[in-house]
Amino acid sequence: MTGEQRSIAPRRTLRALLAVAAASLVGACGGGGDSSDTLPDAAGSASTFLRGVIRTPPLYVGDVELPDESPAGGGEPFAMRAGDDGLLLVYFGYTTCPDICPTTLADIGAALRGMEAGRDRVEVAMVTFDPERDTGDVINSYLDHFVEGGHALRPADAEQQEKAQETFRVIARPVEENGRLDFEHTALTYVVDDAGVVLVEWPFGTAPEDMRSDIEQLLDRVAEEAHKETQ
Amino acid sequence: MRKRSWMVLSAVTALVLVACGGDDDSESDAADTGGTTATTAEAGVGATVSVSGVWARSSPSMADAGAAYMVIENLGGTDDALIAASVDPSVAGSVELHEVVMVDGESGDTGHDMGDDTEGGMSSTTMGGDMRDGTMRMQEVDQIDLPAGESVELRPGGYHLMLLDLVSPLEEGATVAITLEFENATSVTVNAEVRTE
Repeated sequence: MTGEQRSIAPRRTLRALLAVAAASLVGACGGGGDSSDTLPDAAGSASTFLRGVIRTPPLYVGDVELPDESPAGGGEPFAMRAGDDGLLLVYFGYTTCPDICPTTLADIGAALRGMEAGRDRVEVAMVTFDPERDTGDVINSYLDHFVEGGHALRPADAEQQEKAQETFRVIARPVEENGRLDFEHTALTYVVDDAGVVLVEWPFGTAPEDMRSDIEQLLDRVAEEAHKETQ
Repeated sequence: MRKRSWMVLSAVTALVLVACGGDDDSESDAADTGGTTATTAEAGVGATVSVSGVWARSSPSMADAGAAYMVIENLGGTDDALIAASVDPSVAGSVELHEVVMVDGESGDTGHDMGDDTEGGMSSTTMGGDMRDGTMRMQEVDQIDLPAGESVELRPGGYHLMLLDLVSPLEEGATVAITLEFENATSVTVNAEVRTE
């Protein structure tokens, strides 16, 4: 094995481990006395690594446009791209989701509130799986509870919804239990750059400080790349 | 996943029955942990649970459901189970015991059975090849087992209490009294602190 190959392999392994860890974190919940709030330390020790998962090849989502029901959006189409040299965090969920969605959105909110600099370069968008019940007002006030100034995205029709979900490889299946409609759904958060490329994805359970670490590293990276381009 | 944990739990139950009352270690370990205010319910014949770290997530104004989390420690030498929970009707209509499970993509089923199509699913679009489609689902459970001498954590993405038909939003800083019913230990009422994170 050459040195080059060796330097790549541990990164891959780490990411695979992180993915497995995230899955087993969920799977093992309630099974024992492990009360750790964060992902296992395997990832934490390597400070230069992104905590999230990198998909190869990366997803391009910049062509997805959905109506933005936030006060700032005014129902106009919002494209899945960050502002210049910024980042866009995208989460798919629904407002009657009592555990997974509030947890993720609260973690995102905590990650952003803890940022020392660059908060204004990070935007958040939530897309609803449930546009029928999640009207503009509903999704907007829901998102606002966790993250102020986010983009509340509500597909206008099935076609828009399918395109968005397919592009992000998001799966959502309605599940009815005790007369209540819930969704079984992909629970990833996507970090998108200003070109509409997904840089990293956070599995459910990614701790706010890990999100913040990724955001800060990626903000530095996109700023460096923009600087190179202008030279 | 469920089946496997049931098997393990059955094994634990069997061991406890055989070794009935001989397990002093776990009890002394358990007494040292905690730190936060714990509510302990006592009943005869070693049926004792300790509940700590109780909290509920604040809910957005229009949400009709919320979730509560805690750590329940079975201090006794006998297996127990959380079988029901309730809140005052002025808070929510009902409380259900729930768990979140990871779902296999192709089968739409829970558990670790890998279908024949798993190989095909590990394309470049599947991260690490380990997450499949990574969907998560919430489902009701009949009870949450509390093996003798062990702590069980109810937490986001795992077991939790779901408060249904909220009468009003759960406001940050408020407290919600939740009554827990166990198979063996006597019922106990704990106060959940409402917070956003």
